[in-house]
Amino acid sequence: MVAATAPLVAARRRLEFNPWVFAAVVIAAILLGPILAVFGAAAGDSGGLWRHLFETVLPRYVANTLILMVGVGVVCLVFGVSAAWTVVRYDFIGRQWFQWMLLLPAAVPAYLIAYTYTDFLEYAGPVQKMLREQFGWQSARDYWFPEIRSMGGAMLVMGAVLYPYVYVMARTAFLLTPASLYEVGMLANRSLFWKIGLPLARPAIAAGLALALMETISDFGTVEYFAIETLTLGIFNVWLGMNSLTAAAQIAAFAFLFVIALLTLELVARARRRFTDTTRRAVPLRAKRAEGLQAVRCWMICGAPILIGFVGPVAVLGSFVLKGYSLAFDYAWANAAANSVLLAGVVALLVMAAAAFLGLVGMFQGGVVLRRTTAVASVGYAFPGTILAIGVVTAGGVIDDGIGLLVNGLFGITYQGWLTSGVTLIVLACIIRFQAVGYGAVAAGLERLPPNMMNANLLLGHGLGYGMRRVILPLIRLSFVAGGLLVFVDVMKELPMTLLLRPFNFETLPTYVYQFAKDELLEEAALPALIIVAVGILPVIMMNAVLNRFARRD
Amino acid sequence: MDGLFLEYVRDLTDPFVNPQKRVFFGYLGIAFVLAIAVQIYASRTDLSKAVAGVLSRKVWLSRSALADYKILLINQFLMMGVAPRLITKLALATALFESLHVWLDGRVILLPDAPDWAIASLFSCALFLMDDVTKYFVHRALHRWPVLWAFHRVHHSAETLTPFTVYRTHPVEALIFSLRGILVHAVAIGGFLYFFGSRADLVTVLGANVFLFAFNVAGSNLRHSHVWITYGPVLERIFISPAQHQIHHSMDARHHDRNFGAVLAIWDWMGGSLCLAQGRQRLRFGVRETGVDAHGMRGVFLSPFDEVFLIILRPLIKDIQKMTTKMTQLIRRPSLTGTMAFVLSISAFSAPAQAAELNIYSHRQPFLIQPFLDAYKKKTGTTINIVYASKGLAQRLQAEGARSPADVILTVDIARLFVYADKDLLATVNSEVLNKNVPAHLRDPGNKWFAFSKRARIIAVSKRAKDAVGIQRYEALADPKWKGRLCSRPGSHVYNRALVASMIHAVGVKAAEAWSKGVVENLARRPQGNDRAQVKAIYEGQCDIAIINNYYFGKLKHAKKPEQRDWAKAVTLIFPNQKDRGTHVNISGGGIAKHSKNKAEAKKFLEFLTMKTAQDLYAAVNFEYPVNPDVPLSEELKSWGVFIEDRMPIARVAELAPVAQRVIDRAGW
Repeated sequence: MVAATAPLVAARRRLEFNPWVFAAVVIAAILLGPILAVFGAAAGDSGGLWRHLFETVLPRYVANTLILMVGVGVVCLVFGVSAAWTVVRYDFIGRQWFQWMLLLPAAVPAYLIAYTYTDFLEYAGPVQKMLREQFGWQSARDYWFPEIRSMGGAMLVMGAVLYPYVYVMARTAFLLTPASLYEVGMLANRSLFWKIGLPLARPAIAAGLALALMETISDFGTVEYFAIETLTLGIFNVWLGMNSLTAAAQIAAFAFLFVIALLTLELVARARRRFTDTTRRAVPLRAKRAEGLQAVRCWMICGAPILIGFVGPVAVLGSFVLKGYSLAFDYAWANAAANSVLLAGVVALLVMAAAAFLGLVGMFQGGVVLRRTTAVASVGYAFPGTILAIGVVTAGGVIDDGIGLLVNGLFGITYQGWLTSGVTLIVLACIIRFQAVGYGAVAAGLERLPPNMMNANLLLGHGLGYGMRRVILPLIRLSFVAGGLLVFVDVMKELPMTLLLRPFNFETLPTYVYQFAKDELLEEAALPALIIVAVGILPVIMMNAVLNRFARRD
Repeated sequence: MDGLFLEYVRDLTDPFVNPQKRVFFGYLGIAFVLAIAVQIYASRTDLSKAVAGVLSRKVWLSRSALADYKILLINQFLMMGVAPRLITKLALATALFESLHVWLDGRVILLPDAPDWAIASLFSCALFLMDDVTKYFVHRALHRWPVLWAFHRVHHSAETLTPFTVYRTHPVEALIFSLRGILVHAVAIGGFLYFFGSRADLVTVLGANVFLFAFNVAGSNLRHSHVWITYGPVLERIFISPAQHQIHHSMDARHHDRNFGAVLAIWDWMGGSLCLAQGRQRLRFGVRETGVDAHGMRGVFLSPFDEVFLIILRPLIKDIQKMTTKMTQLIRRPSLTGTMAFVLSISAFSAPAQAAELNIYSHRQPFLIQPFLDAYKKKTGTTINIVYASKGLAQRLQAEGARSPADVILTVDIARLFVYADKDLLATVNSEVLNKNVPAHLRDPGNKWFAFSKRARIIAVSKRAKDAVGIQRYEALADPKWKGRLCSRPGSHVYNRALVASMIHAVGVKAAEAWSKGVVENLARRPQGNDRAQVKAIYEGQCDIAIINNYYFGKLKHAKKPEQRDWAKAVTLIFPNQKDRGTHVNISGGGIAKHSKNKAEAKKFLEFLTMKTAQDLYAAVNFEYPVNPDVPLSEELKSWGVFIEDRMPIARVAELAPVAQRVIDRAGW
């Protein structure tokens, strides 16, 4: 264990130009193009709308967004950190199972959990019905029951599916903290969690939280359903209601400030994490045997998030299926399932390729400017999907126009356009949106590397490409795979961009489910909805295997 | 035979008398004088010693130098065979010149007023720069790629450098360089002649490009020599000095892959391969031993080919070995390329629009349109493709522009339809049928969009609330006596927005705002859910009065879930404002995309939607009212009550939507 103050990279100030840097700049430009298109849309004149917005709804939007972020953040932290600490610190019956089951809620889309919980907890739902029968209440005026379609409900359901981001990061951090540090804590008779584990894991937890909160900001499905007036909902009101994409893009750009704040948080968090493990035999903490009451407590801590985030929604969906609302086993959604899996797979691969390339080149070649650029290239996560999709389609249209003009002028060929229709655009949009997830994983992996790896490679006379391929990539392989799986699961759930950008007759599972869910007819699409979750489970389990490898590493 | 020999001799001697070549006797003479001058000045020797040094046997008659001469003789012979078969720069330039006429459709002469000398210098400059930069890149490639280096090594195997070393190249390299030269000259000449006409003349001295002439006069021959001439750190970033090129030939590993440039050092500077000649350095020239005699003709001409074969075959053999061992695993593993190919095929299949097909961008859910499409297909045999999205399709259509595959746009409310018209994305449709079937207030005055069905915004009241059953107007909902008894979906939803817009049209902004505020005051709970959820809330007893679209009632009444049917039973419907302006209706409608390639078919489809079959379907599928006045209401709809509708021009609703949204924002609905 060495507190390595030497940075992993030579701090180059100037941008040296070579093919690596060139390629990285091109990729970053592709990723940033659509985002710039959004800002381009925001540059127009919104005709005094801002004054109106500022006087009426904007303060409410901002306040609601902040409250929601705080609430979701707290839920994520409580669920994620406590569960992570429990499975790392304690050994109890079922621990192996809980370890991976805690990741399962990641496979449940936020809008699905919102729909199912409403169905479950509302007046006509089974819970209230049972209460009424038990106590002989007649109508809603006879008793009080918490309203699920409320700010509190939104915090809970979103937190319940977003906490795995925090859990993954926290658990990895706890595992990678060498036992020697905990032993010091034990000797000094300090709280291992508050004094050792948490402070050391704090940067990782902050990074996970930043991801979860970004998703919170850009979520539309849940807030629309719960009628929580956040900035994202406001964007849509202004865009569709006032017919002003300009003003909508301006609010999106304003919401972007929040995200910049979060990104800064993550960067600062990562920057603090400047210690690396140079001993080859850093033993992870040995888990403490928990029995009796303590084991029960462990079960409760680990069980609650799974129950709320996974078992609940799946049970509701399952009950729909069992009641026979959605038994039509037709070709349409089998096809949609195949499309979803393929799309998710391709995007995951491409995102990881781009993220790894940008990460590596940024770290070993670029200098400060390029490193910042590559980091900025991953801000697509922060925009509501539909807004980003409009940016993508606009940028694609401009590029297609350019190509069309060129080939038409030079060769007289009529160009059909590759970018404005077809799956390409969805793939591109998903890559831009989930670049943050992939880049985060790669960055986390790179930071765990001892410094001088690359220098050693260069000393041995090998080129940069060789070093990346043969030295660095094998070492960050696990982070790479974990990131890829996370992207896969995210794309499986992705709705708004696919909806808008898809070609004719192209359905993915979420779009198929959405046409029913939009009309509050979720029961009609319960089975496909379950399939979304089921397909997400496999990668989630694989992710757990990867995390376990972290623990056994070295 | 004699002729051939004479030609050979002429080819051989030509470079010495041709000022375009580097070994022109004049340049050699200058180089000789320069070399002696440098010897005298730098080494402070006297003239005779200097001359002896420059003409040293050890240099000019070394084994390396002798090999240079032999290679020169053999190459010249080989090139005699090859050169006539190469494409000439004139032919290539002519071809380019002609093609430019075709590609750019005719010809433009740029800068017709510029003086000839300016164009000539521009041309000379451009040609020189292109020539030099391509030399740099080709040279760099020769060093970079093992296959090419095998040939280029011949040049670097010279251990003593004389001006003739420039001809010590493998024929393959010579070929590469002459092809490069032909290409560059052809592009420059063809391009310039096209754009500037005959003014594109070379500025020459003694028939050589002025820049090359300057370069050669400056002692270019000394770069292949042992005479150390540097230009100093500043100039050496711009021009390659003889010393710098000698460094390029150095065996020292520090000097490997440095100073590729021919005349200019700028390229090396930009490419990061520049090495300045600082101070007199003792250099050893040549390359590492490879076991092949570097100066034997066999080693020079044939061994590169051996090496290339090895380079190509070695990985191939390795791969074949690997493949046989891994074959079984490879087959089992689903391959990445297969996946990619599949995805590409999906996009290839789904993208283009074909003839007997119609492409629809729809804001209406697929399962609600499918019956119409099926009916249409049965009637006409046309296949219809759909993209459904609730938001953003207009932006997509706009971005796609003229390339868009879309033919028909369908929306479920007037506001979105209006957006398409507003962005000029719809085509004008002149159709007798549509004009007859769609009442004037339900279509665009400019014939760009048409309504196909009507949806009434009505009031649902709990059967238990006897006092509320008597409500007759929307206006009554703002009455404080209903405080805490009203339910609504969010005000900014399109349906409520349209209702507010119709209020504004009827009573003005101020009254509409007061009304909205009154409604908000009366709400029993925060606005949420869709209209279905409002009926449910009435059933649950959370409130007694709600504003809903009529078809939600039908959907509940005929729902699969028994409890939903109970919700419908809990309410009665009121068609408001029957005694004055009528009940507010919204429309579902559509139009034809401006850039549709299939407008005739699209028009037929729109007409189909207004005819009896389709109009009946609207009622059957989704409990919507027909727009066609000749189509009677379905029995089901009739049983809910016949009503008078607000006949304000529906376009007005869309125009007022932004104002309505502001009203809603201020009311906090």
